Amino acid sequence: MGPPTLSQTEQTLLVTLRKFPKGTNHQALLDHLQTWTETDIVEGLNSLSSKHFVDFLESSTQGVIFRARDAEEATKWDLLDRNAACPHRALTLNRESRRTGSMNEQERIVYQFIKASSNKGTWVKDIKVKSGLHGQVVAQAIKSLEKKSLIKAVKSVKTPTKKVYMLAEIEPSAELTGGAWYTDQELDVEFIDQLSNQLFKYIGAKSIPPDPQFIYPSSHPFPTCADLHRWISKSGITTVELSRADVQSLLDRLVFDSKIEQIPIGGTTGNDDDDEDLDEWNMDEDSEDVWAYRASRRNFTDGSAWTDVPCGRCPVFSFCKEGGPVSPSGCVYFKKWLEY
Amino acid sequence: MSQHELQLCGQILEEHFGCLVEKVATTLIARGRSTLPALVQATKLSVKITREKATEGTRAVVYYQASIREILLRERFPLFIHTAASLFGAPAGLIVQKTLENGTLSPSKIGPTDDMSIGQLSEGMAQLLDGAFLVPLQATDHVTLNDKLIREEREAVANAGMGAPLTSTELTKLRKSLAQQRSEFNQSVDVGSKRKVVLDFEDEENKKKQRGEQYTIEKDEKFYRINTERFNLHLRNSQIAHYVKNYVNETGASLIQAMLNYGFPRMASCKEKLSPSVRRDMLGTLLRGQDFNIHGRVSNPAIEYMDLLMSAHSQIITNIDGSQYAVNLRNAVRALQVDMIESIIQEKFGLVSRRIWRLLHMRSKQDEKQVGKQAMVNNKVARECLYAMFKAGFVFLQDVPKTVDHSASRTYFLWYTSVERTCSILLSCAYNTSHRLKLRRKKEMADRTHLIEKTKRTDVLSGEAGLSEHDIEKLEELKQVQKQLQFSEWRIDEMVMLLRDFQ
Repeated sequence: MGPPTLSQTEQTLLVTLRKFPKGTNHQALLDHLQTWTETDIVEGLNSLSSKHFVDFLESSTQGVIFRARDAEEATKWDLLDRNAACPHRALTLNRESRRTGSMNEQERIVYQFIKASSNKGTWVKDIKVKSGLHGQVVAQAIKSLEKKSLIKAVKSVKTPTKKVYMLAEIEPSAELTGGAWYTDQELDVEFIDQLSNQLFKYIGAKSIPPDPQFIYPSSHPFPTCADLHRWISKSGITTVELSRADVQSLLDRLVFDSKIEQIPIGGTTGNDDDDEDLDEWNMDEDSEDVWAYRASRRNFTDGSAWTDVPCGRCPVFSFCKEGGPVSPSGCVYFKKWLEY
Repeated sequence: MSQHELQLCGQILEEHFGCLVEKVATTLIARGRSTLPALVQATKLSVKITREKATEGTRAVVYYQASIREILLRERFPLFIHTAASLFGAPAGLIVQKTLENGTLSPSKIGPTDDMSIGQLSEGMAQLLDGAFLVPLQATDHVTLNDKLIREEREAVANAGMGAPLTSTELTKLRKSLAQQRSEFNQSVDVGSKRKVVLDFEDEENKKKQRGEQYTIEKDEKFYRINTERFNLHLRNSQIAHYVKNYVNETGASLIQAMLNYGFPRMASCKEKLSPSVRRDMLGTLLRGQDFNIHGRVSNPAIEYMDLLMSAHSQIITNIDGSQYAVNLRNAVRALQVDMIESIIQEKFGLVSRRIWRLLHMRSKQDEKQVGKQAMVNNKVARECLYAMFKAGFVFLQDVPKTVDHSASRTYFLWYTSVERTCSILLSCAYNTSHRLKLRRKKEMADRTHLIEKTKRTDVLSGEAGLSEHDIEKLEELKQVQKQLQFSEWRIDEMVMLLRDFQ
């Protein structure tokens, strides 16, 4: 299936239009095509427009301007029209336009808005407001475009119940998918756990001597975020591409787990107020690291005095009272604990 | 004073003095200072019994008026005895025990026992006095804090009124200004900062020895009392060293312990911020002859440990002028408390909650979504953890309204942690738990009354009638149960010590 046939004059006009990627008004066209009359240009533009080769746009400075669509898109529009006219041939068309159905004016408008939103997607309500079309019309247009596989609905991780639409061939942005930590709109906790365990082991190996009763002196090169980022990219423990900010958030998570400690490079700060500025500094991709990391030796496996007695974990601690329905003398948890 | 404290005080008094003293004393605690007739009316006991019991429990009653702490402190007596015994040997332990039993003690009254001679006891006593674990009793020691305050107020009223009685507003103002003066005095005046000039301590000691003045308990007629603050200081120092052992290694712990031991004679109160400082070049000599366990070659190994501890988040070491190092006691106690809170959270709510708590502790106030993002958990999980901890008093909510109407939909809710608030909540929980453990112990004893009575029968004691196998088994079980409960009570008391007495 080739591109739609164009007459000689139409082709000349289209070639001229394509010289202006941002569009142009009819005066400029007249200047370029000096043999043409104004009527010729108007007729030519009308016929090109009916074949979906030209967009009419409104410009604040130049009045109505004309812009040529790129060839691929023009073909798509045309295909849709032909499919509508001749449903039997649709089977032989490319995958994108296999489903039959025509694109009417409303659908086109909706399509335009969705296209403009690129990989961020747009919400139905926004289309409604911007286009001024009735809600039902927009809903119908979206439904039919979805059927034709021209657009797709994507759910954002931030607003899981809200659907946004974008062109079918576009990859959703990291903002929508949630970045490296999300798989199918879900936070992949398993993946994060695995990765931070590996990271922790690596930091442990780099910051605790083979004999754990020994310590490294402060001149020892403790790993920084950049080092760890490099190591993760090289080691091939994950196929997912991680940015330095991603590695930083993994490190923060390990710090919060008190598995590793953050230490300032080149001596101690000794001043808590500086810490926040340093944090912000560290988030910048190109800046030098100010923090290094060392594994913590503390493990919280020995329990605490309070939680070792039944009261520390008791779900009814607050209304346990001697003489009440729950009391220390009749406590079942105590009984079990003392028998054990 | 909370209900739990009152209950616990009652329980302790009952254990130590019996139920009548308990009744009189708890009435006193609840009513405040009372006269004998008022007390008789409240307790519904006879005048004779009330007077007797109030006198029998004099220490408790008078102490109560000074501070409810004194009664709660009775819980720690075994720990004090154990500490003295492990520091200076069994004779010192015995002396501390006798002092605690009697309230005050004159060394000349201690006679030699089967396994301890006068010489051993004198040595123990000298060591206790040297460490200021026992201090001479002074006349002012019997004046309770309440009495001091009342006297102070009476004097102030007499000066202010120019003979005319004060109105209630004036009295309130006066009380406020007195409280203000007291707190300013406590903050600005260092206790014991003025010292006698002694140029050479060793020289002084040697002179004493030359004069042949050796301490013996027989000659000492003075009365002494226990200085609980010194015991608390010692216990705190060893807990700090233990903390360093967990976070660094044995060597780090010994170094910190050596630093604290070096400054111990000059420590007076747990409220001090810094330990006495140690010069940079002195640090290495504290662990003379020991291996510092540092990987690689370094010029000054002790400084490496200082650097390591200074770079840690807890910041328990402070550098003064670049040339001196001191243990930052306030940070160290805070680190111990944070450590305990973290363990409790991990045990009660799990790893994710601990991560969230630490996050909030390190990064201050955060929105629920920010918490989820930084802890890398689903917002739903984060919310569940936050609310569970909120209920138990580990995290708190701060509302920041966008509009003046304080509408919930237009308000930011920020989560934050407060170690002080959590500590006071945990302290109350600890009192409560201690009270319950005591109740349970009582109940376990009550369940086996027959058995206990049987063991006390004269024929059983003399060996005429033996206990059956079943009885022996049950007796063993009772011992085990009691041991477990008692041990838990002591551990809970250590928790109280960290939350209440170390700061």
